Amino acid sequence: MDRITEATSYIQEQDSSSGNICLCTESLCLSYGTRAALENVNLRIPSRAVTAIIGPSGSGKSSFLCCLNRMTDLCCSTTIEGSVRLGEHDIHRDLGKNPIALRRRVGMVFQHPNPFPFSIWKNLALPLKHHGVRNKQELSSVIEQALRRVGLWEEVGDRLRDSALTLSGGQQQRLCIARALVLEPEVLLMDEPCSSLDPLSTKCIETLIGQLKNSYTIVVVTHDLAQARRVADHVALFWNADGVGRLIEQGPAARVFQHPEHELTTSYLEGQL
Amino acid sequence: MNLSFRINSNIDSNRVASLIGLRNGQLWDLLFSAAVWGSVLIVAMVFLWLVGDVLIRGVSAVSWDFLVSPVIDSGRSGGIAPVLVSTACIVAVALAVAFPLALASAILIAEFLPRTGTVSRLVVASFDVLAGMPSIVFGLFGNALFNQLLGFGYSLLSGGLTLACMVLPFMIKANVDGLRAVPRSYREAGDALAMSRTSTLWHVLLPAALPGIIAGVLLGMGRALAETAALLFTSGYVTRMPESLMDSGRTISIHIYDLAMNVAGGDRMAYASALILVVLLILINTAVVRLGDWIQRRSLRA
Ligand SMILES: Nc1ncnc2c1ncn2[C@@H]1O[C@H](COP(=O)(O)OP(=O)(O)O)[C@@H](O)[C@H]1O
Ligand SMILES: [Mg+2]
Repeated sequence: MDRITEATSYIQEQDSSSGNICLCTESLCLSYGTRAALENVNLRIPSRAVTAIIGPSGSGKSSFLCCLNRMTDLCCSTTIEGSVRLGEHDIHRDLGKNPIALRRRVGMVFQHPNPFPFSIWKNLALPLKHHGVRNKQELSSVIEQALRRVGLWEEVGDRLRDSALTLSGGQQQRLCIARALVLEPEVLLMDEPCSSLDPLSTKCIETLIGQLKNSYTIVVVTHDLAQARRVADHVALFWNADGVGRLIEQGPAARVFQHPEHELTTSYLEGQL
Repeated sequence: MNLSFRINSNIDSNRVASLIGLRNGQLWDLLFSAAVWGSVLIVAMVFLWLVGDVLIRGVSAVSWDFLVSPVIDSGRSGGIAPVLVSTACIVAVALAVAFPLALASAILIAEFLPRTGTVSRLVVASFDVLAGMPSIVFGLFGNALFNQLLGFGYSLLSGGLTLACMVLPFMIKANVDGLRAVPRSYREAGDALAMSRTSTLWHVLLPAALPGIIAGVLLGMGRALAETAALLFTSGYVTRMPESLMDSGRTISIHIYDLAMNVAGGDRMAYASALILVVLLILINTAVVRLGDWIQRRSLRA
C-alpha cells in the first residue's frame, strides 16, 4: 500500500519535465456512493499527444476518463475530491454546475460505437445544430470535412441519408469519432475504442489516432498492450489495490515500456508479453 | 457447394428417419409444433368467428344512410350519426387530456426520477393500482368530481375527462416502457456531445421511443372506445346530436349495450353498430401505426 503511494509521488517528480500539460489531476478521488473507485490520482496529460491509460479491468480506467468530462455527473451519488485542471480552469469548481461548456472542449468516444439511430448526415448535423450552426452550406462543409478526416467520406459520402446503423462496426466507431470532432474539442477521450472491432477496423482507428494527435490531445483507454505500444506517446498504468483504483506509473511510452519503475508494471507488462 | 451438400444430406437423414419411424426427439418436436400451431389456430378461429358473426348479422343494416341518420325509435330504426359524433368528442377529449399528461409523467418517471428511488416506486405502484381499478369505480368518481363538484353535469366533457383518468395509467406505463427501451448509450452520446438533457430528450429519445408512445395511444383509445360502465354515470346516454361538449351524449359502445339489453327488437341494429365499431377500431389502429411509422421515419432520416 505505502509502496504504491511512494511510487506515485516519485514518478510525479520525475515526470514534470515533459512539455505542455493540457489536463492534469491532483489528488483525484472518486467514489460511487460509499465505495471508493479511485484514490489519489495525480496524472498529467501532455497536449497534442496520445496518452494511453492501461491496466487490468476494474482498475478504474473508465471511471477516471469520466471524471475528465464530468460524465460522472450522470450517475447520482458520485463524489469527487481533488481537482482536474484543464488549462487554468478547475473543471469541477470553475466551470460550476454546467458541464456543457466543458464537454464542448472535451469530447468522448465510447467503447461500443453509439451512433444515434438516424441518418449519417443527421448524426453529425444534430450536435452542430444544437451548438448554433444552422446554415445549410456551412453544415455540409463541416460534415464533409469531419467525414474526410476520419476517412469515411470515400466510403459513405454518396449515401449520407442512409441510417448510421447500416454501417459496419468500424465505420460506426469512426462516425462517432467524426461526431465528437465536429464540435472542435481540445481533448478527445476514447474508452477502449477498438475493443469491439475487428483487426482491420482497429488498424484504421489506430492510424486515425496517429493523425489526430497533431491537432488534439488524446486520452485513450486500452487493455491491449500492443496497441498502447503502437499509438501511445505517454502511458499511465492504473492498478486495482484493495478494490480501489490507483495510478501506479506514468511517463513517456518508451521509458515505461523499456524501464518500468514499479515492480507491478514490470510484471503486468511481462504477463502480457 | 459444401453447404448445399450438407442440407441435402440432412433432408435425406430426416427422410430415412421418418420412413423407419419417429425418433423420440422428433416426436416431441412434432407435438410441440402441433401445440403451438393449434393455439394459433384456436385464437385465429375465435377472432374470425367473432368478426364473422358481427359481419353476417350486422352487414344487412349498414348503409351510408345508417351512418348519417339520427337515432329513431330508441335505435330500432334510423342511424347512428349522433352516436358517432358523441363518440368522437368523448374519445378526443380523453386523449387530448390524457396524452400530454401521460407523456409528461412518463418523462419524469423514466428520465428524471432515480429508478429505484422511493418516489419513483411509489408513483409506479399507485399507477398499477389505478390500472387494476374496475371502470365502474371511475364512473362513480367521475360523476362525483366532474358532474357534481365541478358542475359539468351529464356531458361529453365529463365523460371524456373520466375516460382520461381511466386510461392515464395505461398510457403512462406504455410511455415509460417505450422510453426505458431506448438504449442508455443514446443518452451518454447526447451528454458527451454537450447537448442539454431536454435537447437529447426531444431530438433523440422521444423519436426512438415512438413505438412505445404509439402503443400507449392505441391502448388508451381502444379502452376509451370500448368503455360503457364509466360513461353511464358521466356522459349519460342521450341519443340527440350534441351541440357542444356540455351536452350529454352516448358513445357507440353504450349504444350497442342499450340496443342489446334494453330495446326489444334492437338486435339487428346492435350488430350493425358493433360492425361499425370493429371497423373503426381496425381503421384507427392502422392509421395510428402508419402515422407513427411516418413520423419516426421522418425524424430519423431527415
Ligand atoms: N456507475 C457505477 N456505479 C457504481 N460503481 C461503478 C460504476 N462504474 C464503475 N463502477 C465501479 O468502479 C470500479 C472501476 O470500474 P471501471 O472504471 O469501469 O474500470 P475499468 O474501466 O478499468 O475496467 C469497478 O469496481 C466498478 O464496479
Ligand atoms: Mg472500462
